[in-house]
Amino acid sequence: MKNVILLTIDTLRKDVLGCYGGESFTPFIDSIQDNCIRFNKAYSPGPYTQAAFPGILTSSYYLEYGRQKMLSERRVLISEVVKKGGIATAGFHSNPYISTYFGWNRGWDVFYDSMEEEVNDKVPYIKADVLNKKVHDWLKSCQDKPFFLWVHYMDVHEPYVPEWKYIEIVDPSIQIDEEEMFRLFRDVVLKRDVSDKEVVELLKKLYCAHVREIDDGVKEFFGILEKDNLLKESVIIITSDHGDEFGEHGGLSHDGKMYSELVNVPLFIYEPSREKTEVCDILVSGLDVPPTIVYLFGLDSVDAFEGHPLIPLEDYPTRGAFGEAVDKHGSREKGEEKEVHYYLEGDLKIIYCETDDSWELYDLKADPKEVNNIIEISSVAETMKQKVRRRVRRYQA
Amino acid sequence: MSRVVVLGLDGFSPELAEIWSEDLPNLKKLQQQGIWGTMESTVPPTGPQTWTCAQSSRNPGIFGFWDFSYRDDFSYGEPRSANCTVRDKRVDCLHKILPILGQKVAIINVPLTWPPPRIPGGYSISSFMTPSLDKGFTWPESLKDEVYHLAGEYIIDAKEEGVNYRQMEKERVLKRIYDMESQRFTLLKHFISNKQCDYIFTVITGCDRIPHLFYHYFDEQHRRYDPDSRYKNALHDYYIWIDKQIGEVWDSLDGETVLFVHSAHGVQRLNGLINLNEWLIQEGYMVLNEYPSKPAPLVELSVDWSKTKAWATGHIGQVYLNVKGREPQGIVDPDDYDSFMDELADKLIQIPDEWGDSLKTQIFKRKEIHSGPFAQYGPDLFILFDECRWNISEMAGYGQGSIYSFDTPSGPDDGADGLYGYFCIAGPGVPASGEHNGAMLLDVAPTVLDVMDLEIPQEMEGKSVLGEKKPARPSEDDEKMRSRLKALGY
Repeated sequence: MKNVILLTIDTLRKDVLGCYGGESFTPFIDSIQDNCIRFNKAYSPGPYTQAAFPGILTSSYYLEYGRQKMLSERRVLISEVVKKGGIATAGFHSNPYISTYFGWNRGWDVFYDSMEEEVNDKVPYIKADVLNKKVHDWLKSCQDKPFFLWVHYMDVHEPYVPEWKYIEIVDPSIQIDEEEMFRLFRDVVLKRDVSDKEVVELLKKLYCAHVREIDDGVKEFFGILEKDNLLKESVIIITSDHGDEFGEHGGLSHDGKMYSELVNVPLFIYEPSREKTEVCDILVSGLDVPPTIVYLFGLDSVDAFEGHPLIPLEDYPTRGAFGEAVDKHGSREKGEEKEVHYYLEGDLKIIYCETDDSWELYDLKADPKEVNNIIEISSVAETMKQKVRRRVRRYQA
Repeated sequence: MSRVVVLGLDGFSPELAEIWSEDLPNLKKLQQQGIWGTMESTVPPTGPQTWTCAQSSRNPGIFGFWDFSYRDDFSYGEPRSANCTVRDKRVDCLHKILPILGQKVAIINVPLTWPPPRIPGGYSISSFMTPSLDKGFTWPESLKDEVYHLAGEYIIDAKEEGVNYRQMEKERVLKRIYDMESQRFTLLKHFISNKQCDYIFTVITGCDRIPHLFYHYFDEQHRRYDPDSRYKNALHDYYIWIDKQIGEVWDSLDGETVLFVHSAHGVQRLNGLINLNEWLIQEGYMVLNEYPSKPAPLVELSVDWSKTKAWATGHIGQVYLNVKGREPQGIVDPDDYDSFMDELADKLIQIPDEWGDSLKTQIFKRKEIHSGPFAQYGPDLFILFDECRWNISEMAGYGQGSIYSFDTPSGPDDGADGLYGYFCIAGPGVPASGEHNGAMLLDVAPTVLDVMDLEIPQEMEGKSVLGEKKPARPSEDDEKMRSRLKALGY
């Protein structure tokens, strides 16, 4: 039986990856595609970490079990399931929202969330190189095979203060120092100020430099596995919790919006025995990650999981994808827990925002940028609304 | 740091909860996930002071209420009615403490909250002592529109215009109690979902009213036991209904909120009343100028105070001594105060029940249980007959030497408040440590503060039921978390 490794990259947009048609900022990830199933229509169940990770690690939706910062005891973590199956589990990351503090350490034999480390304002997390070292140390000490390893990189997340060499790769004409990058984060990103298009474009480039940086981090990680003769023994699931916005829908960063730049995420399953890319156009969800891991380890399926195993692909059912979040700006929630929902079926995506009780419907095939709202003219608007309506405030009185 | 929802179940009984535990799955689940047990009430275990003790963690001597009426001079009788305005001047309850600490607070139907407390940044809906809805029952005032919108015609109390709930037709009062408590739960769930409060406290009065009305249909040992009644299961069904409501409240909470269910006292069969002033007259401790032709309350009795050494008030058993230099016509010499009290206590303990059996009478001297600036005005003795299964009547005129009666002045009553209530607390940060012995009503406020990671004021007299069990989360961690998230732009 193979090891299963879940590699998640915070804030990674799908469309910046070369293999998804973006510019070539991800040479390494692009280079391993022959060994991958690549999902074109993978959707995160939420547009920010707190809304997405209940899907990725517990196969449940954010607003279920009462909305919470603290992970509900009633959710089942994939780590708990795997550990119960007698398999070693380890998690390494640096995202506070999924740390021990909020209860995400359940079920991991080894859990590193970096909260003990000192970080600085420009890079307020532990970067991939340090994380890789810790993972390497654990791999060397881990006698149990197979194992389940989860690594989550933060390196793409704002503040966009990438190393100089990566900025040069993205655009050598950029002249900017660290202080100025940090000022842009404070004065532009935090304020969601998209009034200056050139600045937004610059921010996007800095973001892409972050992406180029993490591609090196992933490369280093694969190098470690190769060196330790583990790469051939492992199935690696690579995905992201959400994307990032650069003015596409009037904002920056990742708040409670449900457009593609935030919820259409990259997803690959790297299988060492595979020799040719399999491109998958089936609609799948972040909630499918835990059941896939359960399947790969040959464990009994878990009733509480709401997703479906991605493998074998031919057994995957045709179904819609849901996502839900609370409308917010940064950490501040708008109004009193106003919900935002989306539902995607075929090429149609409906979005409901409770804050202004508004509905949007997009035909992603004809309108991939989601700018032509056809809610008033579509004949299926009402059917689509019905799908979402029953989910709004469903966990409340 | 967790938020807290406190659900006050007025007279919810630990004994009944145990007898019917298989029918109360939600409570069982909560118990399995948290800490639970019996909770000792105050003496006397009745009246508005119990909720004040819970919410302030101060004994009644601090604020001077020991029943619905009180005195704050040395007059004969208890001329004043316990009220919110005086209470809030004398003692700080959580609804006053928490907003100062930056917490958002809502209180719904908490006894002794009329006029509705003006909670800064918070909400209050006053309780059954509200004279009428027109006189205002919400803070802010505009909250009333929300109440009407959610609840329709809002029911403040089970009683109806001019009719005590004991005298209402059973079917009618039962339906009204369910309607009333459904409204409270609707409001509570609305507040949980929409108001983002750090602390919500709701009191459900039906847990007290229903047993007072329906205990004799269920308890075979009750004097008026009625085995064939259609109300045989009324009390049982109500407990099941309450359990369902608890389940719904629990399910509506987010993972950051702790649920704390507790009663202010227990409930049990009421066997009867000891006519305590009648007994004092019989024993020569109270002298009347004229014996009344029909039972009359203390205030209507013509007492010869110059010859009276003691008198009783209230319905549990409060006895005052007529002390020289203290009461206007006091005759008990202060030097004899203790010896006279002992003499009286010795005789009180010997009062048997109507069949001549011992009442296992407990006598508490005020100075042993109450302390504080207003303790001095309180009764000198508190007497619990048969753990309160016998209450007292302060009326005299039943006939000389007739010391037992069976109907309260406001009608037949089935239930008596008991000294032991129930509690259960569960949620994030509360360990599943199971049954906990020795909890007191005074522990409620410190427990709430503890759960919220707030400092427990030194003057509080109880202690957190979480005690050492609470997993430590140093505030350094909170600080670190805040700064990390802020740096990420959150």
